[in-house]
Amino acid sequence: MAILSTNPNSFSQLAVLPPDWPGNFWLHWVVFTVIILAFVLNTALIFIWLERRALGRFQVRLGPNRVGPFGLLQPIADVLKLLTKEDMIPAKGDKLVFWLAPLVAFVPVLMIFAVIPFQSGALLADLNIGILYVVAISSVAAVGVFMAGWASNNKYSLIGAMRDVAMLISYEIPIVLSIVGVVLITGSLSLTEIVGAQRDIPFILLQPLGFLIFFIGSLAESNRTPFDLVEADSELVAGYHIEYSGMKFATLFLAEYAEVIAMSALMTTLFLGGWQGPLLPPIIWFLIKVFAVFLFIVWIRSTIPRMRIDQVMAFAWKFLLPLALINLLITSLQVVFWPEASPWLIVFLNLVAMVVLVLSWSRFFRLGGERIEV
Amino acid sequence: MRFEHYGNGIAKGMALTLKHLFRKPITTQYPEEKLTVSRRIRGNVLAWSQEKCIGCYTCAQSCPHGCIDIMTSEKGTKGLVPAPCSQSCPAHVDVPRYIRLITAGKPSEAVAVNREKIPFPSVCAYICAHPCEAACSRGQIDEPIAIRMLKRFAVDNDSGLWRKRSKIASPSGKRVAIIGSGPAGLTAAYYLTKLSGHLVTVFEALPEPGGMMRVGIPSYRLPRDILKAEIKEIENVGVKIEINTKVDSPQSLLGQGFSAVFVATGAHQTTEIGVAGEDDPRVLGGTDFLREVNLGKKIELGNRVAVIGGGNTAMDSARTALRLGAKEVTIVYRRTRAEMPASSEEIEAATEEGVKFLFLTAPSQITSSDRELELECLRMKLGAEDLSGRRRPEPIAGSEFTISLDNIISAIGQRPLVPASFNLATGQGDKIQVAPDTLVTNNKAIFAGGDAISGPATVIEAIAAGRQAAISIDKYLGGSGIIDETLTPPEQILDRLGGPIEGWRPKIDAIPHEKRLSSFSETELGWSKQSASEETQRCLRCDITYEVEKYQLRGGQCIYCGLCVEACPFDALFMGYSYERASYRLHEQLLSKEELLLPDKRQASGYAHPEVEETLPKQTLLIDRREYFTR
Amino acid sequence: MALEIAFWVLAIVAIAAALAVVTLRNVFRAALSLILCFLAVAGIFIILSADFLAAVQILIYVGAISVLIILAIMLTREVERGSLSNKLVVPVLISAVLFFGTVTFAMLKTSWSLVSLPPAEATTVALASKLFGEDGFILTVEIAAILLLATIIGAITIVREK
Repeated sequence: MAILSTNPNSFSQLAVLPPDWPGNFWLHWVVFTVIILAFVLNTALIFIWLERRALGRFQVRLGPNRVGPFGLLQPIADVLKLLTKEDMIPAKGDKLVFWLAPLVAFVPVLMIFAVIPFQSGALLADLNIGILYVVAISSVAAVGVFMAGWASNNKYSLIGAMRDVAMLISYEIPIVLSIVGVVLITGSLSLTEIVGAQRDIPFILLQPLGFLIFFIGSLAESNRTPFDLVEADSELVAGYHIEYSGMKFATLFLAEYAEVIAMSALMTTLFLGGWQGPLLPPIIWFLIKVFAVFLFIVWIRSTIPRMRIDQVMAFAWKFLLPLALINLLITSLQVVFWPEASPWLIVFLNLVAMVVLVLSWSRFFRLGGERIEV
Repeated sequence: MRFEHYGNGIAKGMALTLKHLFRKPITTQYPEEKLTVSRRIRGNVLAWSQEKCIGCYTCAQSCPHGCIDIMTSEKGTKGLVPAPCSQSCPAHVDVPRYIRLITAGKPSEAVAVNREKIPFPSVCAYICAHPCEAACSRGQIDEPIAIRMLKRFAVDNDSGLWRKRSKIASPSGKRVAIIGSGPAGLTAAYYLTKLSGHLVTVFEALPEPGGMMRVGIPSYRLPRDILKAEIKEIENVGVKIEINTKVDSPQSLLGQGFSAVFVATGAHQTTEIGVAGEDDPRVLGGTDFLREVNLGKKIELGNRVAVIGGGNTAMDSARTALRLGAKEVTIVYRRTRAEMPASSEEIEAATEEGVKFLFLTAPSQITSSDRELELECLRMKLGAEDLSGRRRPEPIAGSEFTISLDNIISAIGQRPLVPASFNLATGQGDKIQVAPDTLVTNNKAIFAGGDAISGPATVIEAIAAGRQAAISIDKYLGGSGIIDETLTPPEQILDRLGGPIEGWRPKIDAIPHEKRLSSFSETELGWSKQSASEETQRCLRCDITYEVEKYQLRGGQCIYCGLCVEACPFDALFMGYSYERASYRLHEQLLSKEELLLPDKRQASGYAHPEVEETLPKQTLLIDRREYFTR
Repeated sequence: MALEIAFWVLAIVAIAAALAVVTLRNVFRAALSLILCFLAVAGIFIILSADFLAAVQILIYVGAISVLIILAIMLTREVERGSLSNKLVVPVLISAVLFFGTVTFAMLKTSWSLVSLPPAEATTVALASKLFGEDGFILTVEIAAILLLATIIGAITIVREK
């Protein structure tokens, strides 16, 4: 069977990317940069609206409903409000770094979208090292957060920023290890080929444990509840963007939402079969999956309370990391020794393995048993 | 805790939130338009004005933390400011005084106080719309004083003391004609005869005098003998009432020896609903229906009756229909209960008696067959506020539904009907146009008042209009225009009476509603002496001024909620920000410095104007944040 | 042509950032300059078709090492004024010049064999088979792994409370 094949070139015929689509290099570059910018900005606006509405409904409220039909223009009103606000810089802060931080936070997140295939061949650059590039670039965003936290000259900002970095370093390891499982099965780092490999069975079935770890890790990396310690309102007021206002705050806010969009798009691409799906056009399938993942994140936000920082760190190192390593081991064994096994058997085996592993590991994992100070 | 317990918790939580997604959102629906701003602005300074404060203790009682300390003189005097209740009464009845007399166990004196301003104390005691209760300061604390019920107690226990003190003026020899024997006409007749000595003839087209009091208000609310007794008193002072006499033209009356004419014909004409099929004989007008019933005519009603409208006429019609044997009475109103103009007591009584309500519903068509009527209705929703301050209903397209009925009573409103032969200028809604302060029409010998100039209103407003007309007519005929009389000796310096006591109104007894529906006898029973005395002691006696010896606020307890500012009936408390206060203080300082100068050196500066001085609030600062925190 | 311009831009940025790292008094800004330097070097790797290396450069040096450096800086005092009690300026300058001279000399004197072959399509595969495949450097990789493991265990032993 094809899916577990180790031949790196087995799916190259699926990547139907004409080298110069939709024109020559520069035209391609300009067109896709514009598309990505428009996609990220508009989706962020829609996500903000959707999150507030959905969160409202989850909490039996209405959510924003005054500006425009169903409150649809609320994010636009918010943006206008932010843009007209006074731009404040702390007197004792590091002004240059303060000014640069929102950019450094936003640009890497935007760069992730360069390799995400919106549909077959529709991406800015089909890099050989696609997923590695994503992992590398997304770690740069933490530098922006750190710059913001430090330049504000505010203890709450700094604590928020340090938490962000600590979480980022910790959760990057399980995330990368869970991605390696996907890469092992596909035999390529290119996102286009990863999508192509999921033509029959999405990797959420083949790698259920990997998906679980990646999903939790993504929540932590994009600072979503229950890992929103970075801006934990009750402890840190607003975390690293406490001193930001106006346009700069808007950029930081946008960076945060862009990260959520990126994570949703990555989950779609890596585990949910990307743009593939019956009947509807590929771009519609891609959007449906991205929005579904986002709504699931909102659902979790409306349900699970925030964890403590020691719980978050313990969860990464004592729960996710061992499970990610075991998952990698199982996947490698399957790829090396049973490359010809029926995929549905593998699906079944992996599901059973996930349930058994998660349950048995929970037995001797305790949250908050000891104190870790970060 | 074991991790699997977390797992269970997470799973249950996720299920719960997912279930919430499909529930109807709970939200406070607030009107789209601007809301009125409360007086209760929260600020950081609270100030008290000695000039305005009368020492009524309302603020101290309204404070949830009990942090206002007042010490007042033992004896009070009547203040310059009338109490909110008598201020809001159209006839300016001295409410606090008669309540005090009831407390003192002198109900007859209390009736005499009423008699000073109104000739219908008993009628008012039964059916007054009591704007006084809405204005009552006690309402800011818990529940307003039941002023109407106290009056009811007074008239129930009246010994007729006022008659001994009343005097009838010597005849002036001038004749006045009054068209209409409603509350406005009879009030004017009473005062013109009794206090100005004119010879008054009242013309009434119907076979019974009393106007709307007789034919508009059902006898279960206003027993007929009470009304008859009141009218008898008016006839006793020399007023001549000619029933069954329809006047064609007030001008012709002027030619028959009358020096002045007062037109108080009321508003008896039912406003049409304005839908097709309204001319069916089984569709009755609300006032017409009530008039026929009240005059003793037999009206056959079917089992299912709908009353269209939300005013007092609609409530009366519905309750009367029930008493006539209708099994199912439905009130169709296009707004909601909150916007109903009928008094809440009436709505409650109607609900108790089993009247059904269809809110947000407006009739759109009436189709009639031999057996029954079909009322087609439209569902409405509330939109923006209209001129009357109520939210305007807007139809929801395609929401039509029909109800099968035997009779429809349309009670959406009344308007005056002034015959063309009267030759009077009428304005919008057929109301007679008059000069607002003198009630004189386009003919200077003809005056008009009551519902005929205002559209449907309350009895007390009509009485007030009658008083006003009496003053104007007396002046026109060369009199002094003074129609006030003293039936009780004025109060001297007052001791503090017991109270005010805490608690809610005593229960008002009514006959059980099973018994009510079988007859037209009165539903509401009066109070015992004990209940009435309890109720009078709840009165805050806002009209008595005490000299305030100490007014202090315990700074540490005040949370600046502003409840006291809102409760104060005399605007003696003020809450705002320190910069407002600072500007007042600057003015005060400049004024006091100028006063130090020798009189011949004083110059007219911008601050030395006495009128400016008067406008400045003389306030005592209760709390200065800065001082408080630096201490 | 375009690649040449890109190279010069990246090279100048890298050198300027490296100079900033040693000259800036503010330690935090120095660390940020170090990140910029690493990024520019990653860019140069990309020009040389070493895409995997570039990604790893960013992932490890920018994403992990620099962030750890900054985290350490956060825990020190006098971030904005640098080390005030530093008396090693002259010795450090001398050793740096000596080191620079040696390395330059070695690079100039080595006879580099230039490869005229086009770069491999997917460097990842070639790299993997070189590292883990037969006749590769598997032993070196394993030794490095054991070394790192030993470091981790050593670090834990040192910080562990008795």
